[in-house]
Amino acid sequence: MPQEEFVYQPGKVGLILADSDERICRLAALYAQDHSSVELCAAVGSARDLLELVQRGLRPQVLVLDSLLSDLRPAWFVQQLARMEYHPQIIVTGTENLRRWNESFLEIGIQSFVVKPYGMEELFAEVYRQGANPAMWAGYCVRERYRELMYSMKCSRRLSGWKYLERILLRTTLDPENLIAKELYLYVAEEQRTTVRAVTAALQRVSASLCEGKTDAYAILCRSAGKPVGSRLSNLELISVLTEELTRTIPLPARTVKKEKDR
Amino acid sequence: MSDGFFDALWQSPEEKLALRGGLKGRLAGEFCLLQAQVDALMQQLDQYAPDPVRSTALDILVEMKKSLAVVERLADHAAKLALGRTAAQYRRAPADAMCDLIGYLQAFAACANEELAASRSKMRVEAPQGTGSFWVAADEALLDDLLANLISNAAANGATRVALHCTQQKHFVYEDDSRGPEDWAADLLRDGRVDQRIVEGGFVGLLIVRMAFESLGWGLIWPEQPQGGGLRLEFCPVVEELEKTTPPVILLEDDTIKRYIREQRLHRALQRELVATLGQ
Repeated sequence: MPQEEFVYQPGKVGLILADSDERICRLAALYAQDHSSVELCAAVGSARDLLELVQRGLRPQVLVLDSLLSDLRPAWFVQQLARMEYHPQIIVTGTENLRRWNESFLEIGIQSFVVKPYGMEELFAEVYRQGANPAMWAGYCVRERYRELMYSMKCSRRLSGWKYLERILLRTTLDPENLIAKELYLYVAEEQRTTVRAVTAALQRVSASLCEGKTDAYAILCRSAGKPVGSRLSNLELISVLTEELTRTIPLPARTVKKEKDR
Repeated sequence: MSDGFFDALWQSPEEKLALRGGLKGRLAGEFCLLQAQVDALMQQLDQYAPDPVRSTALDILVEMKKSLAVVERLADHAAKLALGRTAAQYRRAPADAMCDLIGYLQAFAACANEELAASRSKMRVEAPQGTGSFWVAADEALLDDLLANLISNAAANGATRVALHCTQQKHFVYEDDSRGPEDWAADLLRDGRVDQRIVEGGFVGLLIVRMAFESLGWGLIWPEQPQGGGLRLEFCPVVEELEKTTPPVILLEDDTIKRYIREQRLHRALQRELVATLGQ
């Protein structure tokens, strides 16, 4: 039986944010500039402005409304969207003092709530979770956790191996097929239009950079790989321990990476 | 002052005040802005700053995020205590708030174990077994405060196991294998006596615990404490007789969203407490 080809396309989720605090709108716009998964179509100061944009044809998957918006009633607002045959995912932001919000949301068709104080990271993650399908969301979780890990190990994003390793880890965590290392390198090389040799060399540079960083997070990786703290991990060891770490902290099916001879 | 987007939903002036400009609301708004600023700055540095500026600045910002989380938790505790003193009725459970304590404790234990595992703690929380119900009059936000602070305290005091269960006498029992309470902590929990050491040491977590079960209207039986360490607390909840007080329709309610909201809220409460004790 031919194997289904693994294709991971992150895909973007569109968003309109409505918040009467202009500073939040500005920060969201700044944060969205370099966000690979969420596209901020507009950030407006009132629910009425948001509705106008929708009437003019802007229809992203997700709307974020702050609970302090003072110009519209929620039930009426949701009705207006339905009249335009537009059924986005709606997220409301507010303080946890909104004790009765759960029942009220059910009544008016709002799906999610983000409690203040939230960060942009948290808000954008919820936007993506609501707007994306489960496979896209699983990929998002892997990429965000990978980014956090690489932050904590002081690895520069500019190393080409950073991107290659991300692609490999997406595959080892999300693809049901267990692959040998060589296949993984080939997969990334083809996808990124480079050579296997360039991929392995770039991964070695990442490994060297992590080792030089001498961080606590890297020490944990070394211990997980069964090597003395501070030693340099091979490409395969690096992929294996990072896959393990990602599947440990994200609810995904565990995968293993094998050497060719193990197969 | 014009009504907000959701103001029509709130009945009492206290709730409106808390929503719009109360102490907790204002703190939450300002912390929200600070966190958003740090996130945006981190992203800009990560994308555009050259090394080693990038690396050094990101280190500082990561530390700053941790500090923000700790300060935010302290500010939230302070606001809760201030509200508890000045507007006790605000903290009281609404008359119609009912909770199946067994279901709640099972959800709490599941969330707590996930958060503890994520922070590499060896401590585990055991929930009551079975599918039975135990209906009590309780605002779940107060239960979150009560248990998240007890768990965080247990983790800080070296506990490896916390057990939560309900007795046949319709009491709720909390047990852990920590080093056990200091005298001043026992005095506070048992009698509400605030020792100078609590004020000096800034041990606000136990003050929140005391305030939470008082606000719930629950009694506390102080049983004999385990030999060789550990803490055991036996609470007497306000028990609801389901058949007398509520129509049977509640049993047919689809609670998927409610459960999702509860989980989201519990994770948040636990993360906030554990960040201070386990330094996630």
